[in-house]
Amino acid sequence: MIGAVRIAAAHARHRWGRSLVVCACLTLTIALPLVSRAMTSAFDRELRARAEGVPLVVGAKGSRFGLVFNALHFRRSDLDTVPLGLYDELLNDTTVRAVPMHARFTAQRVPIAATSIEYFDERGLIVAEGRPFATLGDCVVGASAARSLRVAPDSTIRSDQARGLDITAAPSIEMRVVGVLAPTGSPDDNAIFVDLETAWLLEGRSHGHDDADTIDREGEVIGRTEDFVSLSGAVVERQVVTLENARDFHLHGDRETLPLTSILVFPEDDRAQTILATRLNAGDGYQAVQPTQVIDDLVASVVRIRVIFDGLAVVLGVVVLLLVGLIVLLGIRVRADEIATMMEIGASRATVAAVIGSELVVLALVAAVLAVGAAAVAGMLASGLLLQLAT
Amino acid sequence: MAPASDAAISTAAVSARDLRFTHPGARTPTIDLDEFTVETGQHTAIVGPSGCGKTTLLRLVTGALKPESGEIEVLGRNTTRMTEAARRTMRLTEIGMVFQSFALLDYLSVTENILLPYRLGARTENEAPAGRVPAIAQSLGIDHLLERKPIRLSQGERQRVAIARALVTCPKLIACDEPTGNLDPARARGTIDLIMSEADRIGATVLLVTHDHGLLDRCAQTLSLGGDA
Repeated sequence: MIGAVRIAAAHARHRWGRSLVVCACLTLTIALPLVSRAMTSAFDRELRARAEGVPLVVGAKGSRFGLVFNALHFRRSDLDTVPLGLYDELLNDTTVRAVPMHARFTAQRVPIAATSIEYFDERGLIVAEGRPFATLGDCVVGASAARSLRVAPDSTIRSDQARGLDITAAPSIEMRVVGVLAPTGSPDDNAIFVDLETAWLLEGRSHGHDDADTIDREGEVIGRTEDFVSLSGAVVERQVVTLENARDFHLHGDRETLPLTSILVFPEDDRAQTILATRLNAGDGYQAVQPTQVIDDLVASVVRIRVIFDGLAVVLGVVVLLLVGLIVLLGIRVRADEIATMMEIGASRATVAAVIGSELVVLALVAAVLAVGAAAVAGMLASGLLLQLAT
Repeated sequence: MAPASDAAISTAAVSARDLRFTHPGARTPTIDLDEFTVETGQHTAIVGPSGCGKTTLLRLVTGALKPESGEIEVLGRNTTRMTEAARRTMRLTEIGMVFQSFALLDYLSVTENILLPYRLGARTENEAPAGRVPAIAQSLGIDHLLERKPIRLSQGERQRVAIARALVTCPKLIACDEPTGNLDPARARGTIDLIMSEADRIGATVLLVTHDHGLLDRCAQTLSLGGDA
C-alpha cells in the first residue's frame, strides 16, 4: 500500500496542473458549507453578545434593524432622530437608566459615537491610557481604532466632512485625543467616543467664533443692539476646538430638540421594560425594540439564506464529484498502457485501484485541510464582513 | 524443442503439455501446443509471424493468462492450478518482464521505475535489498541516471532501465516480449547480449519473443509458432 501511495504521489506531482484543478474543486466543495457555517456562527455569536448587553433601544420609528445597528454597532442609519427631551424624560423615570447615543459621523472612516460617560459604565469600558472625555472636542479612542489611526493621548483626529462638496455643511473639526480604551473585542474597539456637544458641533447645531461683542470687522456684523449682535456669514467659524477657545462654541436653538440617533435603556426589571416599550411603541414617533429579538429575527433570516447556500453546496458537490469522476475515468483511459504494464508485472487490481484511488484520497485530504483552514479564517473575519454587508 | 518427459519436467524452468488457449471471440485457438520444455538456464526464442500467438504464449507462461486446457509448469510449480494471486506473486518475485516499448512510467525516476515490482507488491517487501539497485544500475551503466525521469533518457538508456527493472528481483525467469522490436539490428544485438549476459550472471532462464531471426543464434533453442521455421 505504501508503494501504491508513493506511485500515486509521484503521479500527482507530475500532473500538477490536473492535481491543482481537482484539489481546487474539492476544496471549494468542502469549504463552501464549512465557510458559510463558520461565518454565520461567528456573526450570530458576536451580534448576540453585543445585543445581550442592552435590554432596550429607543429611537425614531422605521427600520428596527437600522436602529439596533446604529445604537449597538455605530452604523450609519437613515432613521430620523429622537429629541434630547425624550432622553431627559427617561432620566426622570426612576425605573430605568438611559444612555444617549448619537452615531452619524466618522473620523478617517472610523465611526464617532457621541454619548455620555455612563456609556462606559454600562459597557464596562476601561480607559487604558489618558482620561475619559470631559469637554467639547475631547475624544476617547477604541483600542483597534487607536492602532489603525496611530493616535494616542495628546494627538488629534479630524472628523470627516459629511458632505464634501456642500459648502453650507458643517466643517470638519479637529478633536483632541484624551484617552484610549482597553481592548474589549467588541465594536467599541473600533469607535471614537465623544460627548454629545461635540456631535452637535459636527452636525452644525453649534459653532464657535470670536466673541460677537468684540467683532468689528467690516461685513461681519449685520446689526448690533445693546442686547443682541447679528453676525453675517462672513464670520469665520472655528474648526479646531482647544481648551482655550472651547468657551467660544455655543448651541443655537432649543436644547430639548437637539437630536439623538438612539437611546440605550436599561430598565430595572421586566415590568419596567414592558411598560416603557408599550408606552413608546403606542405613540407615532418612537419605537422601543429589544436588540436580542431583532438579532434573533436577523439571524433567522441569515440561517434561511444559509439553507439555500447549503442546497447550492450539495448541488455543487454532486457536480464536482461527477467532474472528478470523469477526470478519474479519463485518467484511467489515458493510463491504460501503464495499468496494463503494472498488471503484467504482477500488480493486482486492488493495487492498481490503490495507485489511482490513493492519489484522489491524497488530493481530497489536502482539499479538506485547506477547506477547514478557510473555514477557520472565514470564522475569524466573518463577523466584521457580515456586519458590513448587513448594515 | 525437447519433448517433455517426466524427468525433464522436474529440471525444466518451463514445461507445458496439451496447451490450448483461444482469445474471446476467436474461432480457432491462438495457442494449440502438444508440449514444450525450456530447461533451467536455457535461453529460448519464440518466433513466428504476427498474430501467431507468441505474446499469448509468453503471457500463458508468466501466468498473466490462464489456458483453456493443458498444464504449464513454471519454476517447478504448476501455474494452471495456482490461484491468480499466487501467479501474480510469482510474476512479481520470480519472473522479470521486458516489454517491447520498455513500458517505463514517465512520472517516476529511474530508481522508482527499477523498484516498480517492489512498489506494486501488496504483501512483498516495499524496498529492494540495500545496494541492489545501485549494483544493477552500475552493471548496466546507468548508475549516473538514477534520479532522472525516463523522458530525459536516450532510447538505449531506457532499454537498460527496463532491463534493470526486470532484474531487480533477481528473477529465475526473464520473459522478454520483442524487446528489440523498435531497434536497428546493431542495437538489437547489443540489447539481447546485455539481457543474456545479465541472465547468465544471475542464473536466470530467458524466454525471448522476437521477429528477428538474426538473434536466434543467441538462444539455445527456438520454438516456432504458426508454421514459421
